[in-house]
Amino acid sequence: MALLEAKGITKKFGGLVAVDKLSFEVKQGEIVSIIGPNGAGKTTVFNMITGIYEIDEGEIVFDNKVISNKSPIYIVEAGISRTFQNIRLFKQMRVIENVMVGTHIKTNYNFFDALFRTKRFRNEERKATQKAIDILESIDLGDYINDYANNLPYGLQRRLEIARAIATGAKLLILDEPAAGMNPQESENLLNFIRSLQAKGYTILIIEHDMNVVMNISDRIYVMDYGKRIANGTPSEIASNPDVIKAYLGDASEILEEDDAV
Amino acid sequence: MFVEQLINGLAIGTIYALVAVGYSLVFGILRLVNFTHSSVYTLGAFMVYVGVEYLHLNIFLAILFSLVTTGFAGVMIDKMGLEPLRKKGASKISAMITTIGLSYIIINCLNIAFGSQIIRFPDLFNYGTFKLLGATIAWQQVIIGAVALILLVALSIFINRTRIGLAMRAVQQEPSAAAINGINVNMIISLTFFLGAASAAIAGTLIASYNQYLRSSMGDIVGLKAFAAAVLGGIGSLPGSVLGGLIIGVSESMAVYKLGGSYIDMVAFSLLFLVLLIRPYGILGRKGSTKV
Amino acid sequence: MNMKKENKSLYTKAVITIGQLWENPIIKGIILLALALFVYFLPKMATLYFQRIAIMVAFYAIGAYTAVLLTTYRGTNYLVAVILGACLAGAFGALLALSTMRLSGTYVTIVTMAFFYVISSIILNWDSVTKGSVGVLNIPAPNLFGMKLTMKNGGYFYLIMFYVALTILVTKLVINSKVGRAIKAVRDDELAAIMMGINNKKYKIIAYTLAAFFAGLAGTLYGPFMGYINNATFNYDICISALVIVILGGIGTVKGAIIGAIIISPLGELLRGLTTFMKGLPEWMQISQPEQWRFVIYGMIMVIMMRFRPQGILGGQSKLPYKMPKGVERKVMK
Repeated sequence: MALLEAKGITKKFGGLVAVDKLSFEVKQGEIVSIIGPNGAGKTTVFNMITGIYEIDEGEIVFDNKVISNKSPIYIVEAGISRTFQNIRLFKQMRVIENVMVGTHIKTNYNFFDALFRTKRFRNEERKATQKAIDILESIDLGDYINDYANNLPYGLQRRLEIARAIATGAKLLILDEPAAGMNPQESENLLNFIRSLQAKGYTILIIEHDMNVVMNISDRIYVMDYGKRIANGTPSEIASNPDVIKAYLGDASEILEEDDAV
Repeated sequence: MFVEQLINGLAIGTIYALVAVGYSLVFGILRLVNFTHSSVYTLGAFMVYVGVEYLHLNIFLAILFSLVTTGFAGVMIDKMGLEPLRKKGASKISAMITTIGLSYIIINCLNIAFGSQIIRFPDLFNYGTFKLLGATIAWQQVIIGAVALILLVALSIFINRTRIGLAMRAVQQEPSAAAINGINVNMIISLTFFLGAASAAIAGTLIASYNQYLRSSMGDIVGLKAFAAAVLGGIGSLPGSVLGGLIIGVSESMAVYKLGGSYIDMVAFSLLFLVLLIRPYGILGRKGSTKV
Repeated sequence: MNMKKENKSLYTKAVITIGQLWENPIIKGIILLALALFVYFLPKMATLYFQRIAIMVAFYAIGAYTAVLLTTYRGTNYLVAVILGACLAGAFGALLALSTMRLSGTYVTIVTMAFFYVISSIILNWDSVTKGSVGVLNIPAPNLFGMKLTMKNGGYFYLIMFYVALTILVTKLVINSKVGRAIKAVRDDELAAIMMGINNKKYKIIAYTLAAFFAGLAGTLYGPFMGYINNATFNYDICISALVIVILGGIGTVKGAIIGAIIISPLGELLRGLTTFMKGLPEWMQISQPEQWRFVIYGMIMVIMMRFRPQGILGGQSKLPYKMPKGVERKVMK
């Protein structure tokens, strides 16, 4: 059963059709990647799913609910959370506070509970803190809880961004170029980390340029060019698809051959 | 009455424009609201007074003296206050607070030296009045407007037609690319501060001569209104500043004509508020894009 | 019996003497502190501290005028007037938050600046209510349950202390909760905060309302202390003093605001004292115009702090560990 399904979604900016009647689906527990050359419309798709952009045509269904053209807050509450291409942590807040901001929608008390430190406040705050710590420890950030986000090394900042997304209680994590700017060692660690998330039951949708990451991790891949879907299938199908090689991979085909050899 | 108020508004408006250009120039290059600008305006007028009263210069030499010293003060504000911050990579807010601090230092030093009372200032352009369309118009207003207008035109020719002006525009667009192409960016910034300060000095002198007095607080309101004018026209755009200055000047004098004097200070901001609701980046301003 | 009475009067005397010595700086400082504290809550959308403080002063004036007009001319109960003053300021805060919601950056600055000007204009021009530049005179001392609280009997001092304690307490309670975290998150990165499911508009309104409420509360203190208020009471002097306190102490810390207020508020008195002291010295060494010197010093503090310690004396990132609620366990121990 599809957890997320996009049915012919379209986004126009003035005369430019950034995303053109695109359809795809992500099944429960899968890792799906969207790849394509620069300007193919990948990040636009993410912004459409997460409610930053309105959709001109089509429909997005998540967990049997229509989420297209709903507010970002509704979409987070429905169970989708994302990371950003250029890391957007709360830099002047601690690591644990960043994750606790993620727990915001699941923390159930209001302003007056906070003001009067009611029992509900104490219970909920304890639960939220505990959850944040558990998440941080489960992804090996337990040693950094007191640090400020902008002091973390780059790779850990990426990881913290994912931790923050998990804290919202999301079922589907949307990762926008998680390996961008990472060295091979860091992206290898990231691969293992994302696989471990899948093992924990998360469904994951990725945009990525790093072909090594994409080919190694994805269950299925969608290829976009000029806002349209030009191919989809398993990594090996994509690697041998002549359309894809022609439209997108080009030089990268050499890298793929190496991968196939392995 | 109407024609007189219109002429008056245009004269004051060109002065606002002259001050607004200074905000706009510095904002264009540094993306910084330069709060020292209104104190530099005051300083300029005081320097003319110093030239006349203490150095016994004739009025034109005194104005020249003021142009040089005030312009130099503008350069020093950048060299001593802002350039070290740029080198350190400090935040925009730090730079802005530094300019607030510097403006406090300048104004209150003037206060300590000259007191906060009104000081008589010579009327430079007292050539009587003439009749136009049945209205009595002071030559003074016409001359003030004309001087300010000539300076604005000269400034825009300088920026749009000379090599240095080209370099200034290059730094505005992309400082790092300009630096790679051999433009001395810090020199250009200093020059910008010099031009801004000098034009503010002229504006201050014109207003002081118009009112026939000086005081250390004379820049407060004019500074704010000129800033409003710069934003109204689209900050960073030179024609925008001129347009904004004229609009505010004229609508203020129209407000005086229709409503009486007590609401004059509200006009500029109410106008600004309305314009920004319709055009959030000012009349001639362009939207700066941010990437998600 | 007699002994006891004597003791008491001695104590009262001491309080009064200390009160007289520090009266002005302490009260002003505390009022400024209350003002400075809540600058913290204004989200990043009011990018400039200066403008933040200008609007805080506007709220402060709203609170002050509401309370003073009600108690002086209507004979309203003091507590009721104070609460009404603070609430009205809070309502204006919410209104300002709503009206700046669509704008960004420099343009918010302009609107907030305009707000400051509109409020001062109204105070000056709405003669029939605010008494314009003449101001409101003979403001009665606060009357709490039949007890008159004045500077003389020390009651007013304790009242102000109580307000400040309340302000600090509420600041702390709000900061260390999901509300405070949401406000900080919106300030740090609005889009990312929205993507965490935070209702950015709601928290901006909460932040502005709180800031305005407490600025209004601080404003209600000023009138009875001075005995009169007029349009000149709420000028840039207060803005700048509060700004310098925040810059010196460090924005976003309660301790920083307190330290800043302690250093800054006696400065005026100190310089005045210095002026008197220097009367005996040769003329070129004398300082006249202590007020102007105070502003020069303010300016220098701003420039120097921005150059060498922009986060303020106590600002910046805390070295202390995060304070966990009780009952939270770390499963993996180091």
